[in-house]
Amino acid sequence: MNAPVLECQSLTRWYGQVIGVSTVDCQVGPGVTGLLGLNGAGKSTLFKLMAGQLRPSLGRVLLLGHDLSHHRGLFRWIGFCPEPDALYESMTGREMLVYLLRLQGFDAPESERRAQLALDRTHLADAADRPVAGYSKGMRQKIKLAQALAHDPKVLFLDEPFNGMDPVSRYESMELIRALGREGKTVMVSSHILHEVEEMTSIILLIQNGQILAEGNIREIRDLVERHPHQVRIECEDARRLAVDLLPMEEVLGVKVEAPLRLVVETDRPRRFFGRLPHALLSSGVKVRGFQTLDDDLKSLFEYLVEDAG
Amino acid sequence: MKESGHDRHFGPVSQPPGLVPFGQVYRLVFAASVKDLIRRRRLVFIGLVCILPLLVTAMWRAFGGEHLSAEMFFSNLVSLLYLQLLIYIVALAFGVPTVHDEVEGRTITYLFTRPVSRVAVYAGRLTAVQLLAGSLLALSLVVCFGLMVIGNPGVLDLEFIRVYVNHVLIILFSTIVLTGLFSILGVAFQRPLVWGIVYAFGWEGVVAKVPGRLQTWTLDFHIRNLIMGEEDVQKGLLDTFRHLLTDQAEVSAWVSFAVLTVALVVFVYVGGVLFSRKEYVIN
Repeated sequence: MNAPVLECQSLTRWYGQVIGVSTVDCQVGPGVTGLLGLNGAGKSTLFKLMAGQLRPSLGRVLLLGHDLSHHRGLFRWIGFCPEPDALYESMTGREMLVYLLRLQGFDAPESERRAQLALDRTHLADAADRPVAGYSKGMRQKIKLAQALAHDPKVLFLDEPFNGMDPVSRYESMELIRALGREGKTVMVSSHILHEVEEMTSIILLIQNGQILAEGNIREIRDLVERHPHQVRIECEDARRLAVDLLPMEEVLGVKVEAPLRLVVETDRPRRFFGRLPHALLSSGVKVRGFQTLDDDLKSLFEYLVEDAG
Repeated sequence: MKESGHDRHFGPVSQPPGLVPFGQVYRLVFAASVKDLIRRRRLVFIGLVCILPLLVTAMWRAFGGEHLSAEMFFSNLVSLLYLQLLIYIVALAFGVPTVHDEVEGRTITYLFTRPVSRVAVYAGRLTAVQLLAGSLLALSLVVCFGLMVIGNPGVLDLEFIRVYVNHVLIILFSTIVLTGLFSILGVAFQRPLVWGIVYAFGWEGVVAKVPGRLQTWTLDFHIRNLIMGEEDVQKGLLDTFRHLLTDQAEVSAWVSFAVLTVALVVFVYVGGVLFSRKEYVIN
């Protein structure tokens, strides 16, 4: 990892009796880092602490060696895209960006110029002069992203930035985030969707119950997932016949027929299994109505990590 | 200056950047808040409430002009309607949301992640709501004046104009003081409107009418004292009745003016300090 731009030291936050984040120690360097966790794991609290929105109960956040809670001027280096769907509804997209840029200390012409750049980068230029109250969910996410990057910060915190985006917007925004990482920005993106983060970065922090459960390369995590058997539910027209045809596959550990039209396959090599499955289905001739992976999600990943730690 | 505190090249920086100048933040927040308030439905609703004295004035012109002089009518209008009701409604409607609008709308996040003094943000928003609250009441008073004098030039003597200007200034000053107070509630409480109503119509409404020294602990007492000290408002029907029943505390108008001025300074200071230290957990 590169030299840390951002460092959390024993970062802890309580909400009364409830622990939001507990003794988090981590260092984040330039590039894109994914913060992964289930809903309620403490991602947003950690982001708010890192972005100076909340004060830590214990510990501290250092930005380029400076304690964030002692220097409000450090907000010049931070761009924060909050998770809540909150915008200045009566302003146009451009007015909102210019207003927030001017609060970053830029003069009016420079704010206009930077606002236009941010609108172009987030593909919002066409809607720039419409009130944000009329924006679609995806456009609202984009204008939040635009205000976070418009002042060219060193560090960006993007809290669930793809919520509500259509596939095209999602792709464009992912491209933008990757580009920001390549430009040398320190970008932290939170998500509860593993593959979403995987498309932008290989460096991740996993958070659960307010604690960092694992950090490092996503491939290591992926390998860990693959050491555990996966279950795939298949809806088809003849479950018994398909079970007989799938059992001989070397990737298949077992098959359970749940109902005449439904079976569950257990595999220890899911990627290989999915690669060979179409051929197996064609050979079998059984019509398939749908697939559902039962455990290839973040919840299972956390369960495996906890098991392995145990 | 195109930008300040930003270094273009990435890398450790020995000195952290400073805050954006206070005056710049104040002006920006003030301008944005005025625009925002003008676009809100709240302005229309409170504007409708401010029509009430105009209706009363129109009725006076139609039916009571011969029995009640313009000077006495205006004193009663101010005493009964503006000071009893309107300044509280307007100050509550504009003061409570000073900061609460940003908190409820969760846009406070954007302000709190900027390199700005929170006191400057508070001062900018407070001045904007005070300007709007004062303007609305001033407009209502100007229209009242117009209704009283248009086609009725006989009422326009120096004494009436002196009384009118004095009352207008006192109403505006009182509104600014009360807005400052209710802004604090918006900063400090989750349900500021409830606390504001309890204060306005509980403490102020009841304690200000209790005989003896206790009433001097209300803003209402000092606001009324400004008018009474200046004008023979005892002629007003309600005050005549009240004066007969209660033992008024004796405080000069200048003392009341000083009390209200100090209260305003304290309210602004306390609100600013509270806002700069308050932590809002936005979900």
